[in-house]
Amino acid sequence: MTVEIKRDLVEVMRDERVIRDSIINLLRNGPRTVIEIAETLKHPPHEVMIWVATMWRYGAIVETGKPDEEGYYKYQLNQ
Amino acid sequence: MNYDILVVGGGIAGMESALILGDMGYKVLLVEKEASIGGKMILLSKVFPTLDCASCISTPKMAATINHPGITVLTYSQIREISRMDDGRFIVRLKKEATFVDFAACTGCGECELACTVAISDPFNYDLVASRSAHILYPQAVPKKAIIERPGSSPCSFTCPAGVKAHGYVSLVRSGKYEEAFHLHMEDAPLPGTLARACYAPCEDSCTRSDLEGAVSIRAIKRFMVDRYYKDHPEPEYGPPEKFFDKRIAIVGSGPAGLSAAYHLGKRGYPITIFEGAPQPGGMLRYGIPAYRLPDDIVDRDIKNITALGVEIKTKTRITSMKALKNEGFDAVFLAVGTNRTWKMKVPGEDLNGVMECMEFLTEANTGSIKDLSGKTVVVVGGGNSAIDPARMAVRMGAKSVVIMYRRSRNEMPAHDWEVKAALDEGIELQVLKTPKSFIGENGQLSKIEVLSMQLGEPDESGRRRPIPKKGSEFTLPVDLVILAIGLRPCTESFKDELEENRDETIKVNEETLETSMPSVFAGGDAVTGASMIVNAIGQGKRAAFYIHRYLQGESLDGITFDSRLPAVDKKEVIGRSSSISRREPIIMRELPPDERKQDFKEVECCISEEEARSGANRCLDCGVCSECNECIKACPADAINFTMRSEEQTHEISSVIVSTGFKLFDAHLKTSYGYGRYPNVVTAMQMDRILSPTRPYNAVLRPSDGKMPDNIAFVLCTGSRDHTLNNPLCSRVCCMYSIKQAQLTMGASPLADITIYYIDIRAFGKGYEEFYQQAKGMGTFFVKGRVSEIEQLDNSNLMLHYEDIESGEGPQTTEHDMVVLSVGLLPNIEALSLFKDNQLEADHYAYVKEVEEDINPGKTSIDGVFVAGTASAPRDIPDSILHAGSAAAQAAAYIERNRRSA
Ligand SMILES: Cc1cc2nc3c(=O)[nH]c(=O)nc-3n(C[C@H](O)[C@H](O)[C@H](O)COP(=O)(O)OP(=O)(O)OC[C@H]3O[C@@H](n4cnc5c(N)ncnc54)[C@H](O)[C@@H]3O)c2cc1C
Ligand code: SF4
Ligand code: SF4
Repeated sequence: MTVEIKRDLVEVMRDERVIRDSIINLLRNGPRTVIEIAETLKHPPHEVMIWVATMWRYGAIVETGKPDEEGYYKYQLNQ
Repeated sequence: MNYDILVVGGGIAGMESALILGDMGYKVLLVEKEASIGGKMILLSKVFPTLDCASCISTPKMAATINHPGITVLTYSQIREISRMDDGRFIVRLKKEATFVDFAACTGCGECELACTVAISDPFNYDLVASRSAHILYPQAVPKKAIIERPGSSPCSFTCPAGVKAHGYVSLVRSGKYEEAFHLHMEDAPLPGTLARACYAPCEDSCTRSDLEGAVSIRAIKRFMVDRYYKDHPEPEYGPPEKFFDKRIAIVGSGPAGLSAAYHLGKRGYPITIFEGAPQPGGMLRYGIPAYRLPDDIVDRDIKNITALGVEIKTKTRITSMKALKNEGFDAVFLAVGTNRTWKMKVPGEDLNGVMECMEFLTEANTGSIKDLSGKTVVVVGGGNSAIDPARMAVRMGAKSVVIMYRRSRNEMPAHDWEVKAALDEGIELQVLKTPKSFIGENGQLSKIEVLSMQLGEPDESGRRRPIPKKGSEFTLPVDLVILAIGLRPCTESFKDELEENRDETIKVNEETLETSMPSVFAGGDAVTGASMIVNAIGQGKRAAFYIHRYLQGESLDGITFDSRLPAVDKKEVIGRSSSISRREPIIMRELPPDERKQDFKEVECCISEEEARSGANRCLDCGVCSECNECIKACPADAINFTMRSEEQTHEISSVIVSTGFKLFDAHLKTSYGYGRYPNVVTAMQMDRILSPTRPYNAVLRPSDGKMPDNIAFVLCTGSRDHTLNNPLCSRVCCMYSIKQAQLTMGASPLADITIYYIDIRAFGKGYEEFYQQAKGMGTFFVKGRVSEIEQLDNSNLMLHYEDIESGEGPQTTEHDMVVLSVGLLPNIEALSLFKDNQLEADHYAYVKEVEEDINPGKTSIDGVFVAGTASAPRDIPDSILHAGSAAAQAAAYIERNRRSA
């Protein structure tokens, strides 16, 4: 999927405060890649990447094992 | 303070100069504008050509600097000006910014950052990831202390007369922390249910977003949070304080001012009695504001917040003397009797049966003394909010026709436009430019109004155009009931012999402390300000509580400021922080349709949903950055958060100065053909160094478009360097080598990745650099000689590079990569040039600090006694910066010694 940065990053980062709960709910059903989260939540993957990285940074989620064959990590809730 | 040397900038060069001079025994002041020393080196992954870990070699220097007995480090500090004194020494004026964290107490645990509800972009990860308003700069920060970004108050919170932290609870609701939002509100104002319904919300008027597509729906968000909390907690969660002071306080009036004062004093542990003349507490909230706007059960629940503290409310007790209260043993009194009388119109017939004062009508209607107006014609005289409420009440009581009569035009009506609209929707007729000339009755009972038409003249002292009677325009209007709502009058007649009053019968007070002319008696609310609004009265009650407490504790009231909020941030500056702000429509509270709501007193406004509350809150622009949600205060185990901290101006005398303000990076957005800022997978080298570093923003080397591990990366050298079109002809000296370093590190992280470096020529001039270059080649890095002319994004978010392969001679080529790193050049930090008074520090041809004898006296500048270290004077790598810093230190020491000897 091709993506272009359209929105100001400050606004994207602010959205994490709200969207993180949707991501957490989704990951309750099992680990997901950034692309999978983006497809389900209907947000551009590069924005999801910022939210996932922020949640990873603050310990809400962690990656599972190694990346898949195409090079994507899956993320799960940090127990 | 006196210092030998001032070092400006705490990067590797500044630290090196400071350490050398400190070791020599000089007293050094090192000033760094960021909240940590370390400069850019600490953010790097590894350093070329040794591939030593940048943090591992940088942190010992940082620790040595901060702990050196001869070096005083001031971080988060801005130099205002350096000027020379008559004796040849320098004087430096600087501003130490407030961090809002007590560094002596902060342990660097980061709990505040985890709890913080405001997301900001992280400049130290070059915008790849979010940080928080409360944050520690990066894990190896020195000092490792949290700071809170708080440039000022958010306009909404600054505007609230009760000091409610609107931004704070909006931010908490956005984060799904609804109970916390309620509790934050309760810190400042105890009647949240009321305010969520009947507040005129000055916060929304001042909201920055109101300059865009509409204010954040702050009141609707409050309504959601309060309704949810009250549903879950029909009773307050707290009881009376464990211990009470032995000082008794009487409060006269149980309107919002009295209740607010009782709440704040009750929380502090005072025994309080509220005296209320009416049968039930609440003042205007119960008797003035109709239930369709503010239901009684909400007023009751709000009042429980106060009575739960043990506050006693004696209703049906009218107080007429302050002295009598004092004689009863009360140590202080707060008088908050409001304005529930109406000024007379002074026209004939005003005393007829059927002409009522607005408050008299509202009280009787709200208590059920008047229930039915079926078949009646009602005229409400006045144009303010107090005219709208009785008119809408009359509709609900079945009146056949209801008219609001106002002497100016609709534009001049003081009532809020949305209230006028609601009245019109309910079928109320607006007759503007009309006024009663007399009320006509039969047998003492009103039957008609003689009406006079008006026209508008010149503006009066209120700024509104003056209504002028039109001669001969009189006509009569049959009417059953007239309600006079031409302005509310203070209920202060009983106290005029004891307390000084103003001409409008409000009580005279000291505006700051609310003390009246009688010692130990304070007054506030509408009785002091004149008819105002609930939130103002709540603010007055809070202010009175603050000063009454001081008074009863025997503390001085002089020179003490109750309201110490930071000034509001500039709205234009807030909007300017973002390159664009997406349009997001305000959340509107739905209302019952007019035909339905006219039938009874059911609440008209409907609460918004949870989803609406959160998305509505997410329209907030975080104007003051920190929202004052207080979550960090609760989370901090060391009790280190201190919102009363303020920035501090300092002055120091100095013998010599070293400028080590470093470099700036080329802004890759300016090279538009490379798509930086549009294509997520085009990153800068500084971002790549962060991605490769142990404290990286991602869990691995990933590309930003979708989190894939890239396996075909391009490095584009000389982006913004050696480029006349971008006004920077200089070679940046480090880009070739750091790109080769990054290529090697990427291969280490993803051994199967293809790496291509597009270059003009490789500058491997230092010791071991050529070997490092050859090593990268040996590892399989492709080197393509040729400038990249354009980068294009493909459907799969990969990038197509257009370039010319000069060595193969095959002309223009294209190659696809899944990530591109722009090796951005170093630029001068021109801030350095304005440090000195009258901009005396000379720049060279490229705007770097000029070294006047570069060949023989490196570090010497155009100002005697001022030296330059590191990249402030030219692009350099770390070893060269350190070497140069040593030279600057030696020169500064020699300068001081020379002066000492000649003195
Ligand atoms: C992507 C990248 C990778 C690199 N990799 C390497 C590498 O591997 N090896 C290598 O040798 N070099 C590398 N470099 C170069 C290296 O970063 C610099 O040589 C080094 O940081 C220079 O140190 P400095 O102290 O002169 O400047 P800086 O690191 O820029 O420090 C200057 C300090 O001064 C502060 N300051 C600025 N203005 C003021 C003011 N008015 N008041 C107070 N404080 C102020 C700044 O906040 C900063 O902390 C790399 C550079 C880049 C861009
Ligand atoms: S008060 Fe709230 S927004 Fe401000 S720094 Fe603390 S946690 Fe963050
Ligand atoms: S945008 Fe947010 S912080 Fe700014 S004034 Fe509006 S509600 Fe307050």
